[in-house]
Amino acid sequence: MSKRGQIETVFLALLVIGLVGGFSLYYSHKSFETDKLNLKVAAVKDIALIIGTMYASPHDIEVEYDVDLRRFIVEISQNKVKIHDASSVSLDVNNKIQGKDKTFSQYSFVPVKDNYDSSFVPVILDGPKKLVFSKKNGELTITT
Amino acid sequence: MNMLTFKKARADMMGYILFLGLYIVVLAFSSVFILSTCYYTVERAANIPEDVEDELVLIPRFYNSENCFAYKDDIGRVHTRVIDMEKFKQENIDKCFPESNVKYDFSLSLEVPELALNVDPVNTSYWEDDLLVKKIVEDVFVLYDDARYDAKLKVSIKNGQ
Repeated sequence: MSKRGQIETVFLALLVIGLVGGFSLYYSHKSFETDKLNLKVAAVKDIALIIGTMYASPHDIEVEYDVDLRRFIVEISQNKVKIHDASSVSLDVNNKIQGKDKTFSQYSFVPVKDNYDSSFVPVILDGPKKLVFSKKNGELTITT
Repeated sequence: MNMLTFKKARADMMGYILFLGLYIVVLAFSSVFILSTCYYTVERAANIPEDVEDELVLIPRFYNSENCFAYKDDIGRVHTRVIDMEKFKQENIDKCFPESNVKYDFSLSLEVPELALNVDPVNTSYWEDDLLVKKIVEDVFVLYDDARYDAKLKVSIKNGQ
């Protein structure tokens, strides 16, 4: 290969690497969607810690979690919080989640056995603008 | 002459293959770097500071919740940081800290210096004795035979992850 040919090859390869790198960045950014994944991961932890803290309190207590989660579906079961992307899943008429969000986020908390055996009903909230956690006489309720 | 041309062509081909190999390696490293940067950013954005979940969120339930060991009087008031000695049992910790997927496990023992009393430890579901545990001591009161004593609640914390 001539010297000029070698330079052209190197230039072409660098161009391809640059383009591939650029596309990788673009698609990574798109899949992470700026703060969407950050919010999903942070919100599950926030919610799990709030519930854990409320179970530790002996008093009646109400906490408002004023974070806009309208882009998500929030699922709180007996010992776990899950957040799904509302653009990937939906709720059917029975309030069951349909579809699959490959990047759903989840975090566990520790309930109190008496509470979830008797009173705590798993909650699925579609695009809540805020969450209100209320504990009265040992029973925890979560509303929007 | 032909032999020389063949050798030159082979050398060019080897150079090309080497370059292609390097190109693939660089590409792979770039992709891994980009993805790990994204994951690192996400993890950092949602990181729970050390000691918050175990010490501030989970442990207080042991001495503040009536479902655990906190003393509840006849009119229904729960006295925080007052441990009812009769409730300091494995049965109660199973109720107030049932099996779950949180990464922490606890072992709790109680020491009442005035009575020279050391109560055997009670453990959460997945507790296994290990040398690599964090130990903290909480100052609490203990209600024993209708009298209140200063006590030390010794908590061993095992981080399962």
